[in-house]
Order: sequence, then structure tokens, then C-alpha cells
Amino acid sequence: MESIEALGTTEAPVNKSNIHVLTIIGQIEGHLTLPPQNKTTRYEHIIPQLVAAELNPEIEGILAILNTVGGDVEAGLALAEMMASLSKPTVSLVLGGGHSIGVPIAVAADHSFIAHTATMTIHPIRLSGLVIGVPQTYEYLDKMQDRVVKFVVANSRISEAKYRELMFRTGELARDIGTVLVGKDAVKVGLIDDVGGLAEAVAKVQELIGHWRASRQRPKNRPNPPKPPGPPGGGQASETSGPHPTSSPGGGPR
Amino acid sequence: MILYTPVPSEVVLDGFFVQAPTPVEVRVGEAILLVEDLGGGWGRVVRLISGNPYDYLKPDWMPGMMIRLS
Repeated sequence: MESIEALGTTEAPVNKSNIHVLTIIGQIEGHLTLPPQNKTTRYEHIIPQLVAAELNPEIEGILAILNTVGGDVEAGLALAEMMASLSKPTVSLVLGGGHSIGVPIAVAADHSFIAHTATMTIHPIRLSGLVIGVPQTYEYLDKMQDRVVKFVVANSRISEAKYRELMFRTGELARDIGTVLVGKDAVKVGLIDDVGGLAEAVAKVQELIGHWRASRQRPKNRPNPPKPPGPPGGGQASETSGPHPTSSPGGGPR
Repeated sequence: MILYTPVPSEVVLDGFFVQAPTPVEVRVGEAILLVEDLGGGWGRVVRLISGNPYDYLKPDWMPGMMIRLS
């Protein structure tokens, strides 16, 4: 009413969604602020946002939209772990690209989608800056790589051997070793669940929200699920020697 | 810091040692906003510091948003 009187305009009705949209874009920024030519996603903002999404009763599902070139390993894995540990349904959609540390974030969701033309680059971790040429350096790198590989394998259908094979493949990337997966290739290797776009992703979140609501209501309606009737006399009867519960007279719990 | 990205590190880190302007702290209720002063009474949100997770859902407090400094 105020805006009609003051400005001669009407306000568009605001519909509150039960889905929280999380956009993971550009570089995943770590503990050091990156120079301003980078578009960045900052973990210090996304992590509490996910906490809020978990706590807010109005938010029932999370849709993560990714167009990222990767970034800091620690920060990327932190976001991925947060996503994976949410109790509310999560769906990810890779648009454009979900490279390097973007891969664990994409697979952390309950269900993942990739657009037909989107790409995911899988390649080994490199060390930049001063590198000491000792065996421990390589062991450390290997350990960091293992963290990523193990998370991806635990949260997708891809096997560890296949993921490592894609990671160390030669002849596909011009400046690096590794693989670029385009759209359905990521689904074929078991990294991503489906090829799809926004409509499919939103429909999937709503479907998962339906299951989630049902699973939350179940314990309220049936606080004590009925136990199968046991043999009379408690622990005296064994599985092989005791009378069959249905055939025993007066059997079952009282 | 281990950068895991197909973008060359010389591109990502170009200008890394250029000193960024120190943001000013603005207290709004229980929350603190770190704001880059743009002059003319306007600032750009750099970071939000708050113990209330719901503050991180406020669109006006997202990093990059312009706010009026008074």
C-alpha cells in the first residue's frame, strides 16, 4: 500500500521457497584471500550458511549449483563434508564446470546432476611455490590426494581404481595429465548420478524432501515399532531347538 | 595452501602481494560486518562475523553487497 501511494508501483508477491540455493562459483577460496581478479566462494560464509539451512525449519532441502574451477583443497573438502553431513536432502547441479576440488563438492550431495555440456576435470594435485625435493614432499602430496579420492569414492558410484585411472591418464589434457569428463561421461563412470538441468534438479529436491518428511513423521506416529513375537520363556529357547513362535500356544510378548 | 585447480597458479595468484585496503568494522546489532569503504557514504561487504547462523542467510549482508554507511 505504501509503495502504491509513494511510488505508484505495486510490489511483486514474495514466495518463500523451502529450498535453499547454494551457488559455488569461481575459485574455492582457502585460508588466504585471493587477488581480486578471481571470483571466489568463501568457506567462512558458506559453512555458517549450511548451519543455518540445517537449523532453519523453513528450509527443507538444499540445491547446490556449481560452476567452479576448483581451488583450495582444505576449504573444498570442508564444504563437501558439510554438504554430506546435512540431514536435509541435498541435490547438486554442475553447470559449466565442476573441476578439481569441485568434484568432491558435486558428489557430496544426495543426488547429483550434470548439464549436457558441463565438464569436470580430474587431475592430480600439484604443489605450487617452494617445493623441497625430498621423498616426504611426495608422501605429503599423496596423502592430500588420498583425502580427495577417498571422499569421492565414498560419496559416488565410481571405484577408486577407476578414479585414479582417470586422474593419471595421459594424452587427454594439453598441459596436464588427467581427464575431462563432459556431461554424460561423468554419469557413465559413476561420478555423477544423472544428466539434467534445473527442472530435473528442482524436481529431485522436492522428491527427496517428500521422502525426508515421510521419514521424519514415521517415528512420531509409531514410537515403538512392533517387535516380532518371540518364543515363550525369554532366552531359554534357541533358534534351532525352540518352538516356532507362530505355533507356540500363548507365545509372544505380553 | 594447496590449490587444486586446472587454472595455472600464476593466473590465480597474479597480484597476490598487492596490499588490499583494510576493511572497516561495522557493528549491526550482534553482528559485525567487515566493509570496504568506497567513499561517499557507501561500502561493500567483505565479510560477516556473527554467531547467529541465520545472519548468513540475509541477502543484504552477502559479501559484495553495497551498504550505506552512516
